[in-house]
Order: sequence, then structure tokens, then C-alpha cells
Amino acid sequence: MMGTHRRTRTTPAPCDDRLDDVLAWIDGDLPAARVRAVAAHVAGCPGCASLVDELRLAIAACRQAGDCRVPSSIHRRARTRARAIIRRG
Amino acid sequence: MIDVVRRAAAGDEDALERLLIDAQELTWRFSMAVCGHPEDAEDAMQEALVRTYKHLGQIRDVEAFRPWLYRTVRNVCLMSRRKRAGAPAQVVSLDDPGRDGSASRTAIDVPSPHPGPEAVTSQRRLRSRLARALSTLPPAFRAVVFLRDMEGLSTRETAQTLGLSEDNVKARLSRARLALRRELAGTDGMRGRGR
Ligand SMILES: [Zn+2]
Repeated sequence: MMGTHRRTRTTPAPCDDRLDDVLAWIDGDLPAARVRAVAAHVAGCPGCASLVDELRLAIAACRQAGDCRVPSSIHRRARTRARAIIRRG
Repeated sequence: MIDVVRRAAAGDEDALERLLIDAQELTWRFSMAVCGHPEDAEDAMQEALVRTYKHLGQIRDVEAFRPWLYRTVRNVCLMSRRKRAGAPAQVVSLDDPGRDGSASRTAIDVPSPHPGPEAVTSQRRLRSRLARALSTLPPAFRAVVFLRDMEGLSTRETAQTLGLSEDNVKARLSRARLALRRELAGTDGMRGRGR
């Protein structure tokens, strides 16, 4: 059940043989028939659970970065150029 | 966006201005996240502006505008990057202040609404770690992360934009996320094994 763990002193390692399933699960791409088994494995495996936490942190960091606006100096230059090209026609 | 595209195509100047600004800002974000040269980003914005303006004058299918825009942005960014072939690729820190003291080299503003000082500090720290982590990825992987996770495109839209298969997008995204996670975790001194 636990696959091949190789623990480090800091973070337990995730299971190599579960990696593709775990990645697909995080993205909602896992076939429905396998979801329950993967979720149960992650719940009981510290290595895969911490992998999932870290991946979710990385994904959240990217989403948060994507939600931010561009700097106001960039916005102002974009607006000036847009108005100029509209005026010129 | 579709309503704005429709109005812009019908000659509404406010809608047109908004789309032209959106196109340039998207270009700047793509350029900074994927290519990492502020000078190229300005060139690419200008080119995207001209192409979008011409395209809007002859638009037929408003639904097709968004995919067109992403493909165009990707193309102009790659072109401006190719112009400086030989120059070392680098991704500037997303928190790096501009040379003139403005935020012109800052890829990402602090998001509103008004987070407290601790939240700002931790967001800032996370963003600069993310910038460093992204800089370790090849540009082709950064493009997938940008479109999927930062811009929220679907796997299919990302595949169409980059000319990849959907399986290829999924595989690159997985590898990119593993690498990002390793880098983000690594800077906390809790580096796991990963692969
Ligand atoms: Zn496991």
C-alpha cells in the first residue's frame, strides 16, 4: 500500500510509483474509478500528502501571481499607445 | 471579453481602447513571465498593439478573438526574444524595482484589496521565490505554467496557443509544477527528493 518510501530526515519522500496518479488527481484529470484509491493513499501516506501540499502551494502561488495587475507605469504606457493608434486610425 | 470584442469590432472607441490595453498588458505579462527581458516586453507590446488594432478591423468571429490574442502574444514575444538571440536568457526578479525607481521591472503588483503588512510581506516573499523558481524552468515550460496557472486557460486552450497536444501540455505542466514545488520548498530548507 505504501509503495517505496525513502524517508529523509526533513520531509518523507513521495512514492515514485504513485506520482503520475497524484499529479493527475490534483488537476482533476484522474479517471473517476481511480480517484477514491488515490485519495485514500494520499490520506495515509505522509510523503505523498506533503507532495500534494507543496504542489498546491506552488499552484496557488502561480494563480496569485496571475491575479495581480500590471504596474501602473506599464498600464499608463499601454493606454497612451492605445489612444495614439486609435487617433491615427 | 466577448461583449467588449463585439463592441470594439462595431467601432466603439472605449471598447477598442480597453482591448488594445488588455492586449498589451497580456503581452507584458507573458513576456516578463516567459522571456524575462523588460526591453523585449516593450517591443512586444508595441507589436501586439499594432496587430490587434489591424485584426479588430477585420474580425468576423468574436469568439475566436481570445485564442487569436493568446497565439499572437506568444508569437510576438518569441519574435522579440529571437531578435536578441545570443543574449543570455534571464528572468528578472518579480520584485526588482525599475532603474528609474518606478515599478517598470516589477512583473506583479501587490494585489488589492488592502492586505495587512504581514500578508504583504509573505506575499512578496512568495512572489520572489516564485520568480526564482520560474527562472529555473526552460521557457517552454514557463509558457505552459503562465497560460494554465497564471492566466487560467484550459488545457485545450493552452495546447492550441502553443501548438502542442493536450497530453504534452499536461506532461509539461506536471514537470513544471514538480520543479516549482521543489524550488519553492527548497528555499525553506525542506527540500524533499522529488524528480
Ligand atoms: Zn505515497
